[in-house]
Amino acid sequence: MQNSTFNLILRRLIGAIPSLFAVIVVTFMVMRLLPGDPAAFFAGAAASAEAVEQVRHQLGLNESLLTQFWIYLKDLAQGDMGKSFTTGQPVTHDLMERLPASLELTLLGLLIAIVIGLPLGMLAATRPNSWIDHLCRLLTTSGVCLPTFFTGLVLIYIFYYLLGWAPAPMGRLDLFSSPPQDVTGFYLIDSAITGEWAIFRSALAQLILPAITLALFALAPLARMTRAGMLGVLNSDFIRSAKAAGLPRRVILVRYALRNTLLPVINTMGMVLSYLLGINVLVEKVFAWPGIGSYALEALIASDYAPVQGFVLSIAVLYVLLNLVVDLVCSLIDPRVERAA
Amino acid sequence: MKQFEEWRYLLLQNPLTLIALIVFIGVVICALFAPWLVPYDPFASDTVNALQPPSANNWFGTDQLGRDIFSRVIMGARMDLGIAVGAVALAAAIGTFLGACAGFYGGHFDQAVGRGVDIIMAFPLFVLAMAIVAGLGNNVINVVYASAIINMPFYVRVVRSEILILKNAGFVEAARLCGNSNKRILWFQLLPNVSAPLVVQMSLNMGWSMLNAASLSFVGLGIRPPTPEWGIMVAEGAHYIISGQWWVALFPGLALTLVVLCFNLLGDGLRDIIDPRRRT
Amino acid sequence: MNTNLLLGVQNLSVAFDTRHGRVAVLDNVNLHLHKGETLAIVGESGSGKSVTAYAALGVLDPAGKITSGKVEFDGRNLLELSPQEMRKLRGRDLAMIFQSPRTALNPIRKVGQQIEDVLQAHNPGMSGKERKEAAIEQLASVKITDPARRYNAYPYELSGGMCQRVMIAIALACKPRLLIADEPTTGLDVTTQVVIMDLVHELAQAHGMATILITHDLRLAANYCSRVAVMHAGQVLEDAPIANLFKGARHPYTKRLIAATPKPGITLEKLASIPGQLPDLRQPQPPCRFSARCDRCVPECAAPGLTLVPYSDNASHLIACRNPL
Repeated sequence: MQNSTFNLILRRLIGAIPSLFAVIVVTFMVMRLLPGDPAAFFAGAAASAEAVEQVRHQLGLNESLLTQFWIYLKDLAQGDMGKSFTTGQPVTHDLMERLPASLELTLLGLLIAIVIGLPLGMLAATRPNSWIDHLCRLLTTSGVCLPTFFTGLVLIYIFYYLLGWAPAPMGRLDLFSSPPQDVTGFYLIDSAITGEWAIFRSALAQLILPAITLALFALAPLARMTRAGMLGVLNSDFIRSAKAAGLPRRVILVRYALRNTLLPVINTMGMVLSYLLGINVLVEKVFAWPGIGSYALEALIASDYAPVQGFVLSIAVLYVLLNLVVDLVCSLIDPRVERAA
Repeated sequence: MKQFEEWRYLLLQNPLTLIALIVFIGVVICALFAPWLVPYDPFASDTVNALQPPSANNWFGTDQLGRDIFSRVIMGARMDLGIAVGAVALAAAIGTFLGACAGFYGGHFDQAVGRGVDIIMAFPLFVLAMAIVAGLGNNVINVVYASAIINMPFYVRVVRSEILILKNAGFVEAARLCGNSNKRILWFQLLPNVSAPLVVQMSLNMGWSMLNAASLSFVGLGIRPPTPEWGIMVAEGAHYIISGQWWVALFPGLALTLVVLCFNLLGDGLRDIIDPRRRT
Repeated sequence: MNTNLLLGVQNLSVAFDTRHGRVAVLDNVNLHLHKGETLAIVGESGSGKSVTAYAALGVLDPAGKITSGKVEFDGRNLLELSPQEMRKLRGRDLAMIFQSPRTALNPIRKVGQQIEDVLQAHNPGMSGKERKEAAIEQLASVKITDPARRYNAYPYELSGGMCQRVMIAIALACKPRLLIADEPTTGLDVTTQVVIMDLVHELAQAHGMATILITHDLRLAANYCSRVAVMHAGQVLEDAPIANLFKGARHPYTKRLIAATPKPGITLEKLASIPGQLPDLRQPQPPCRFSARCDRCVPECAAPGLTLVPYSDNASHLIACRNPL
């Protein structure tokens, strides 16, 4: 059992390698093959002709494409994604510094969406045409229509400007707090570990609005899938036989219906993650969140392309890895997935 | 005529779809005839009257340059709608062609198309669109291409799976026995049968494409100021939200939400009418 | 009152609310079953056999409403019990097995645990260890080889026949007094059908358990049951001991049903079919829902108040027909 689970994880990891490679190839191609002079891109907008030549040489852009790709791969293997001209730092360094901010926000948003979306979908399915079913339908219909950047602004206006409950949308901490000791890079976790509760509260206060903005968007597909899945499961034969066997309602709902509903929901989680990681860029811009999304946007507007490339690659890798986790959770829940090597 | 009667009946059965259809027609009219509909020149700035709240003169108020927001919202319909229509049409055309050939001929071509779709789907789609616009160059036509590329996988998948089911159907065999070539069977027998799910997919995709277009211009890609476009207008209004001038961002944001909602309702309604089984 | 009576269904009517309006699926169904007796409910698909069982057990789809009638079990009207009391009765006193056993089991839970779930629901005092032992014992009692290993199997790892054995093990886990078998052999291959039916029969005999077999197969009913109730379009048309029925069916529908049952030596061409289809229950129905398909239909058939009455003097042979054979 233990061994077969390990085997499964190993096989899934190996299975993810082709998609990772494809992601690297595409990122390379998008940035190098498209019209325009990559040397000028990477040198930055204000570079002199000499500097451009130097960059061209440095990047091996006078070599054949395959050689260029090889150099690119080698650099990547060493964790070298080039230098940012706006910050003057290696891109890898910049990204690593900002990644925890993005991850903390995205994961919290996802968590809120799951905590609200799953029970909502389930309740809606068990009580068709009740007020909770209508609420669920309203949220799922409107949730996918709301432009995330707009939702964020509306929340800021209501909770910051009108009610004054939320702090100013200016990054991860208020002006009077300093970041907690760096352990995981997640402020909530770090401040909790070190017991700095004032910082924890400040970080949470800053996080809550952007996380809700993300959650509002991710909620819709989750609740919709849960409701549809649960409706399907509740109509299935095995629920009827469980009822006929006199199992208590709670056991039927949790042990029989919920786990079977979760499978299709987890299977669509990949799509939700795709949306979330994309939407994350918008939310970071709205809330001046110092994550990799806003970093890439700043670089994009300054025509500083190395950070953009690094950002696209790291988001894509992150997406592949998160999908891998989803896949693993799914196969651990579902015994029908073959475990043997 | 009978067809018309049936549609009328179905629309009256789904009042929400009917409302969505009416709003949609209104938006299309706005997009087509915007220059003749607006009360003010959407580009004319009037710094004396900058950032005025909504009033009888300026229904939606004025922005930081004193431009009439109502006029700009009306004009904005054409940009996002145009991009979405272009992207969806392009994606549907290419995606249908690839999906149909992949499903019908199978083999290496099918595998290659499948691999291509997988690669596109290996990215978070909005980020891929950002990367494509960044790589191709920051202008409107590239936003259309980028949106088309991230929309395409859905069409390839829908058409391919439909063709796979249909190509074993009896009428295909009958057509072949009548001496039709493979090409004729694919384009004249199979594709017409795919049109229903295709139309549903397109209308569901329209809203999403508009959101993508507006999101890209919100982050500064594609359309540039001072063009009246909803994403840019919200981005401009974002600066004034924290000082309480809500109307600058609210009206373009609402307009975008309304149009996307209307597309989604239309898509759901169409799906219920065309294919009631897929209702969720 | 007959103290030997275990289950008495009286004038049970069920309607389903659909988008086409209200459909009267059951019309004044009357059935009775004595302790330890085996009854077959026979009829075409859609005749209301399963709905009768679901209604009696309280597991009707939410769209189905019981519009009138009584279901007495051991002197108690089940329809008046609270959902909680009814739940406790299900699985403990009344149990049911279903057709297509594969889908009737939870696909992602070990079969042993599914037996334990029933034991836990009805014997809260049992320890986990006792439950597990009882579940394995239960698997052994339905003649599953190597029960301790099969305890850990998931339904997809078992054959259809095996799954049905597991269903039987779940149904009989609490030694119920009544077992309803709803087409238990549908979807199994022929040799397995016999094995499963023999197993049900044997276990029922051993526990002195009353059984209702729901089937469309008269021969199956004849082999395993002592009495048959024939249903058509939500009505019980004839109810008689099996020997009486085959020797002297009194209802025209039963006679045709017998003629339509394949027998050795009769080719498919010679096999009689019953003309027409089950009536469309969305439309208002005449008192006898078979009258439109019946060649013995007389004007009296249109008179209201059709009831199940003894045929001539035989109290055990009931019939609902104005013009019996």
